[in-house]
Amino acid sequence: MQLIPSLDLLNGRVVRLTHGDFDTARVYGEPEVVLDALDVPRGARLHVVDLEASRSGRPIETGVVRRLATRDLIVQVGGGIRSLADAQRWLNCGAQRIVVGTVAAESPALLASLVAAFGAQRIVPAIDVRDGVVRTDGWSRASATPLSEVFARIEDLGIEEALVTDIAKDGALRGPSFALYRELRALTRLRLIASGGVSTTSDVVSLSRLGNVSGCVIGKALLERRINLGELQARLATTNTIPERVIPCLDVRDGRVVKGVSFEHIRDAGDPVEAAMRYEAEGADELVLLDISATDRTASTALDTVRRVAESLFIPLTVGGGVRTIDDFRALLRAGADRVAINTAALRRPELLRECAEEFGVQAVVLSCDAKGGFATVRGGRELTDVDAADWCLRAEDLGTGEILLTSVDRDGTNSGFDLELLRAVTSRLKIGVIASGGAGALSHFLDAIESGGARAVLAASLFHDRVFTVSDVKRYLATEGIPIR
Amino acid sequence: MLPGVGSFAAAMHWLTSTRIDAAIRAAVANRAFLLGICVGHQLLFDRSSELTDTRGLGLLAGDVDRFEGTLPVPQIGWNRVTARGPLFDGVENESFYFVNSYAARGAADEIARADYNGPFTAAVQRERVFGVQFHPEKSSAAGLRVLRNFVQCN
Repeated sequence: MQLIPSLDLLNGRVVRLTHGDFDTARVYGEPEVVLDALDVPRGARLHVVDLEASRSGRPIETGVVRRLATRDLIVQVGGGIRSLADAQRWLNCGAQRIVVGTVAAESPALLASLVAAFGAQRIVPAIDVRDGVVRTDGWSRASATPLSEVFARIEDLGIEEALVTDIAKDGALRGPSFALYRELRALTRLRLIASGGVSTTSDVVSLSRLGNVSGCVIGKALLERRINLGELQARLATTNTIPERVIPCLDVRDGRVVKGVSFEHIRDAGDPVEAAMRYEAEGADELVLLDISATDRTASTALDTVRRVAESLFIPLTVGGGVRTIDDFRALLRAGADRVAINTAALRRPELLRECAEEFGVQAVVLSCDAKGGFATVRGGRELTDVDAADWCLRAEDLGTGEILLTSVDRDGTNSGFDLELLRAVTSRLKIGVIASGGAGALSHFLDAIESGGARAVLAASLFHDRVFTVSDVKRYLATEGIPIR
Repeated sequence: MLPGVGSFAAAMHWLTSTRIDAAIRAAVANRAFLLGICVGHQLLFDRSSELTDTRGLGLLAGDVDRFEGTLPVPQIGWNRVTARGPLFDGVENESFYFVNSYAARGAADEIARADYNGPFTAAVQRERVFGVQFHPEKSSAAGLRVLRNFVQCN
């Protein structure tokens, strides 16, 4: 995966525009100073956009490009290039590649002569897409040429790589358009450089798993220090050997599995030991057992159920519900839990997390965060607090938590998909893993939670109880979409 | 079987104060089969830098050091293991469940390797002494297979 830092230039300095409006330019400083601050490695490819040129149609920032080209960087320049002379001018400044947008979509003859004059390696078509339609002239116009034809022409010229931006995602820091790049797998053999919306390390990992994306342009996220190039490179090196996990959840009340919608309307769903054994046989990577009656009964969790489940299970078991003290925590571990999830008691007294981590090891501590409208709730979602869910998860990580079980109370039981915004808000700020919970209703939801939400594990209850999908259905699906699974 | 919970230093202190360390060495000298799991696997080596520099049982050559890198420590979860030898018969390329902050890297008697912030030793064997950094008892069918293979080695 090639990481390509991007600099937008205006009046010789690095800027970012909001929605392409020149009056909103935020200045980040001199290009060299910005590059040094970003730790761009030697030999890296650098994407430079001459904003004034894209407006006026004449190369402006030639001086800056000339200076950048003397560094050990592969510079590619874009912005209003509409003739052989423009392209020649940039190449004379030391640019190694020319990025063409409108020309690539609208002027096949000119694209062909650019390739004939400078070679296919030097020309990088940049295709801007919104809702499946190619946009040109600084996104203002919809092209009449269908996407498939634009790509076919590019391929015919011997070009092997194209930059593709979903403009709905650009600068929004909401993640790239995985769906678009996945769709393009069927449409073109070109290697794609993803651009737009890349805002977390996990976004880049997910792009690398798609197979047809060979590079990505990172702009705002680098300038805003959301991504560190060195860290990202290291993460890309190892992360694909670590499987993402699928976790069935047993909500247990009085020794029986139950399931409700938004924590209410509870109905019986069977014997926990039978369910646990079936899930392990289906390939579950872990089991979560939540005693949902415990918080109400002001009694400790049903230790007996935990004991029975743990005896018959050979995968890790996480238990939560009604854990108030270190003694509750210890009792659950002794009953056979590998990890214990805490919610209400930790919100009331955060130090409990640190105490448990010191006593039993950070790997045994799971923070269960039930979020509603972005805020943490207690007592099984019934009581809202004024604590921001993402802030709380971050604090829990500092106090001593091995992983976060993040449940969207709003989505729970609705089958409408995981809350991706909530997930991104938490996963983008934490180093420890997050288990996505609440809202699974379709196979694609599990993919979204990992790919776009940055979750390291996905959890569902009713979907598995009701046999809408088996655990192995979900894992098979994730594997075909390029997600490493066990 | 030498399981392991808690820190290397505490486990080693317990082994020496109960003189189980001497018993283990004597048993191994008498050609007993030994399987160390997690911290039990780490205890087989010369030393560990966990908390303070502590000498291990020294049955195997190598040091145990903390994971450093971008991935969160401790490692909690499944990881793919590439293995060879009788202990991994039938499960040479499977995922196993790990919970660890420390590991040996490139041990002389390595029979299995995984990657977490760089490659590390997932299992070792020297004659009748075996060690696995992961938890076979939590690694579902693949883990049970390793345990069965160990029993069949006996």
